[in-house]
Amino acid sequence: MRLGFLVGAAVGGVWGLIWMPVIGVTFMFVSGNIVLPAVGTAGLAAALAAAGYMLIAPMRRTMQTHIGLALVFLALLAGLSGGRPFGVELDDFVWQQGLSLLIIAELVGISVWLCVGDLSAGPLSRYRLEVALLKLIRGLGMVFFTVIVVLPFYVMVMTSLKSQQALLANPLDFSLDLERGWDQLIRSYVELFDKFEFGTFLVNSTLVSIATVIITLCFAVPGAYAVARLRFPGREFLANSILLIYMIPAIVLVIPLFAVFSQLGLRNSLGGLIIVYPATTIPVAIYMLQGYFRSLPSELEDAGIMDGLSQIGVIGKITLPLSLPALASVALYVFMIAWNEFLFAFMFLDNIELFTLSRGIVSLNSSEVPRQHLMAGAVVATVPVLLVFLWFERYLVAGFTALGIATYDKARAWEEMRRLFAGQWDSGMVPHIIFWQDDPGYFPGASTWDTGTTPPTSGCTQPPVAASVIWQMARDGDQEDRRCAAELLPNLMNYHRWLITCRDPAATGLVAIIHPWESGRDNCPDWQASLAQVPVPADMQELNRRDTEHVDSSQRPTDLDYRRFMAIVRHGRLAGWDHVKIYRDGPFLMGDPGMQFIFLRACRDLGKLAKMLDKLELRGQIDEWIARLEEGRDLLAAHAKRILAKCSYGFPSWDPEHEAFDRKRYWCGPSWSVMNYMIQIGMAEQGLDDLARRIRDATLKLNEHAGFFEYYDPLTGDGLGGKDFSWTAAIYLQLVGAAADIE
Amino acid sequence: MLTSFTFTLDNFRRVFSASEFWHVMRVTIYYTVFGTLGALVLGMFAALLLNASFPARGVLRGLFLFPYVAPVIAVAFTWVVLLDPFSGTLNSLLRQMQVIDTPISFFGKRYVTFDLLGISFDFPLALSTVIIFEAWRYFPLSFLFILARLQSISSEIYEAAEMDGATPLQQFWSISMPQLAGILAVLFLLRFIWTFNKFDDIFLLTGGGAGTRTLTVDVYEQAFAISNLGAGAAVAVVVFVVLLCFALVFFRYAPKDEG
Repeated sequence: MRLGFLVGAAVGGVWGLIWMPVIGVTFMFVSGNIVLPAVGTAGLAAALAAAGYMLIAPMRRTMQTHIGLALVFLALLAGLSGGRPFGVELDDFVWQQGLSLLIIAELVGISVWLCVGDLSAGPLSRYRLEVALLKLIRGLGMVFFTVIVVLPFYVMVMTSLKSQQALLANPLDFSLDLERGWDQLIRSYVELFDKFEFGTFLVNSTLVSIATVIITLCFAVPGAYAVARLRFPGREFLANSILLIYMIPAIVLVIPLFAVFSQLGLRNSLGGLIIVYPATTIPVAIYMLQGYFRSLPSELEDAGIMDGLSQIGVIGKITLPLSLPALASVALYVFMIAWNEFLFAFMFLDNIELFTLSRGIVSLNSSEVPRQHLMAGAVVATVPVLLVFLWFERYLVAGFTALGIATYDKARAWEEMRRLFAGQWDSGMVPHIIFWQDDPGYFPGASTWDTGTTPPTSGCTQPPVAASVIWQMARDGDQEDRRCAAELLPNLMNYHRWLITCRDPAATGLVAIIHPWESGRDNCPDWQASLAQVPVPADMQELNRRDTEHVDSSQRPTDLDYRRFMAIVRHGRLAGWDHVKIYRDGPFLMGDPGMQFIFLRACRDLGKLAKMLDKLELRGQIDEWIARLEEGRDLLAAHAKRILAKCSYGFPSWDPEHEAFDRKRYWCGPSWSVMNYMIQIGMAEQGLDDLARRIRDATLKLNEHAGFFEYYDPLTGDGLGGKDFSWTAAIYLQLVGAAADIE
Repeated sequence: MLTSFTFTLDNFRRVFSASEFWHVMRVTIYYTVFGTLGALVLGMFAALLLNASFPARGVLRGLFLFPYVAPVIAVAFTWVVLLDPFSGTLNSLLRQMQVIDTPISFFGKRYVTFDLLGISFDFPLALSTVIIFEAWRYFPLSFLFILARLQSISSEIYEAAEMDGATPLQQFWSISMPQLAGILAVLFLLRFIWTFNKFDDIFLLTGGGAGTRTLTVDVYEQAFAISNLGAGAAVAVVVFVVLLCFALVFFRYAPKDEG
C-alpha cells in the first residue's frame, strides 16, 4: 500500500462522513421528511470510490473521471445501504431523495478532486502530504463555520414562520407550508405588531440608536481631534485612559446609575438611555477616530491654515471630508452597540410604551407566549441591524482594522494623486517637487528653483509612474475609483504629451532627461560622462546643503557633484524654465533606459485605462506614443546588439567600446550570470526573443566550459573572481530548466 | 440614602465570607479563560481559511460576522430554543440520528458524569455550553483582526520559504505565527477583560443557574434579585478592582502601535 493511495481513500471517507449528514439534515429541514442518513455507509462508499479514483494517474483525470467518481460513490452507497441510503425506501418522496443524493455525490466528487486531484497513488513527500491534508482541513473548516453560523439563524427565521402545533408535532420540520396561506405564514409577525406593540419598540429603538450616533459623533470628533493634533498638558494620560473607561463592566455602572437616575427621575425614560448610551460609546469612538486622524498628513491642515482657514475651518473643510470612511465606520459601530444594547434598557425601562426592541423581546420570554413569537421578535430585532451592516460592511471592516492596524486607504491615495497633479504646469509637465509650504530649511527650496508657478514647484520632472499607479488603483478598485481615475485622465494625457514633445522633439523614440535628478538615480555613474562636462560657474553661491546634516556625507553625493547639479538648475532658471530651450542648449542631456521603459509601460497602462473608461477616442494618440517609444526601444536594442556582437560570452557590465572598459575588473566590463539571466528575461518580455536566446546560450556555454565562476571575461570567457559560486550554479539550473520547458 | 454619611464594611465582610463567593470566582475564571481562548482559536482558524482568495470569499467574510452583529438578545434566545431539551432542534436531531437516547438539558444540567477507564468525573455541562456560546458569538471579532494582520504579511516571505522547501505547516509556525504574536496578545487581553465583564449572555442563557453564576451575574443577583444594593455594589467593587489590575497589565504589555 502506498501513502498516496491511503491518503486519497481516507480523504474520500472523511468527505463521505461529512456530506451525508450535512445534506441529509438539510434535506430533512427543507422537506420536513424524517429520515436517518446512513452516515457510516456513506463514509465507506466514498472511501472505496476515492480509492478507485487514486488508481488513475493524475495526468489522466478529466471531467469524466470526476463524474465517474461521483457515480461509483452513488452506486456503492445504494448497494451498501441495501437501497436505503436515508433509512427509508427509495420510492418514498422520490425526487427529494434523488436530488439530495445527487447533490451529496457531486459534493463528494468535487471535494475529493479539490483535495487529492493532483496526488498520485505512489509515495508522497512530506510537503505534498501536508498540502493535501491542509486542503482537507480547509474544506472541513469552511463547512464547519458555515454550519455553525447559518444553523441558528436558519432555525430562528424558520421557527418564526411555523405554527405551535407544527412545531410540537415535528421539531425538525422547517419546511414552508405554503398551503397555509401567506397570512398564516407571517401570523407571528402580525400578532407582534398588533398585540405586543412591536411597532412602538421599533420606533423607540430607531430613535435611541440614531440619537446615540449623533451625540457620540458630536463629542467624539472634537475629542479625537484634540487628542490626535493639539498639544496640551495631560494629553498622553487622556489618550491612554480612553480605553480604560471601555473596560469598566456595564453591570458595575448599573448600580450607581440606577440609584442616581431614579432620584433624578430619568430612569424610566428614553432620555436616560440617550444619556447612558453615548457615555459608553464615546470612548471607543474617540479611540477609533484619533487613530485615523493621526494617520492623515498634517501638511494638508497646515496648508489650510496658510490659506487663512481657522482651526475650526480646517476641521470642517479638510479633516472631516477626508475622514468620511472612518466616520461612517464609527457611526455604524455605535449604531450597532446602541441597537443591540440590552442591560440598561432592561434595568431602566418599566413602561411598555418606552420599551426598545431588546427590552420588548425579554417580555416575550415567558411560558404564556409561544416560541414562534419569541423567534419572530428576534428576527425583527436582527434584520435591521444586519441590513445596515451588510450595506456598510466594508466601512465596518475598515473601522475595526483602524483600531489597530493601518490599512491601505484608497481615499488618501486618490488625494495624493490629486495633490500631485495640482502642481502640474500649464505645459503639462509634472514637477518632481511641489512646495506646499515655504520651508526655508529645505535646500534647494522654492526660491532656488524660482519657477514662478502657483503652487511653487521644482523645474524638472520625474519618472512618469503616475499612469501605472492610477491604472492599478482603477483596475483593482470599484466604481468610485474609476470615477477618480476618469477625473485625472486629462492630466495624464497632458503629462505624457509634454514628455514626448519636449523630451523627444526630433521623434527619435528616445526620451531624454535634462538633470540626473529626473532619473531618480541622482549620482549613478551612468551620468558621469555627461555630468563631468557641466561647467560650474565661478560666481556660484555657496552650497547650503541640508541632506548632509542628518546623513553621513560619505553616503550622499559629493559636493562637486552637487555643485554641478546646482549649475544645471541655475541654467534652467536663467532660461526661464523654457524646456524647449533647455533641451536645445542645456548643459546636461542624456537618454535614460529607466525613464524610457517606465514611460513605455506608463503609456501602455494609460491605453488600458482609457479602454476601461470607454475613452476610445484617446487610443489613437496613445498607440502612436507607444509605437514611437517602441522604436526607441529598438534603438536601445540595436545598442545591445552592437555590444553583444563584441562579446561572445554574455552581456558585459560596461560598454566594451568605452575607454573605461576593463574586461576583468568587477563591474567595469565582466559578464555576470545573474545579470545575463535578468537581461534575457526583460528582453524576452519585450519580444526580443533572438537577443534573449543569444544571451541565454552564451551564459550556458560559459558555465559549461569555464565552470561556475563569480563573473567572466566577456571577450574570452575566462572565469574571474571566486570559484564554485553557488549563485552562478543556481542561475545555470534555472536557465537549463527554462530551456527544457521551451523544448 | 446617598446623602447619608454613615459607611460600613459589612457588605464586603459578607461577600468574602460567603462560601458561594469563591465558587463564583472559580466559575468566572473558567468562563473567562476558556471563552477567550475559544473565541481566539475559532477566530484564527476562520482567518486562516479566508486568507486565500477564492470566489465565495466576500460572502463568507460577511457571513462569519453575523454572530457578532446580531443583537445578543436574539441570538441568546435562538440558542435557548435550539438547545431546548423538550422541543429543541438539536435534541430532536441527535435523537433522530440515534446519537443519544434521552434529551440533554444543555443549559439546565450542572454536571454530566463520565466513566473513563473506571474513573468517573463530572463535566460541567451548562458552563461548557455557555462557554461555547461565548466563543461562537465573539470569534468574528478576533477573526477580523487576525485576518487583517495576516493580509499585511508580505507574500514574498512565503515565496522565499517555498523556494527553500518549507512545508505549509513549517511556513505557518515559522512565518505566520511570529507575525501574529503581537495581535494575538492584544486580542487575548482585550477579550479576556471583555469576557470577564460579560453579563448579558449568561443572564439571558441560564440566568446564572446550573453552576454558571459569574461575578457580574452575582452583582445583579445581590443588588436586584435579593434587593440588596449594598451587597451588589460590594461585588461590583471587587469586579472593578480585578479589572483595574487587568487593565494595568494591558497597558504595560500592549504594543504601542497595535493596541
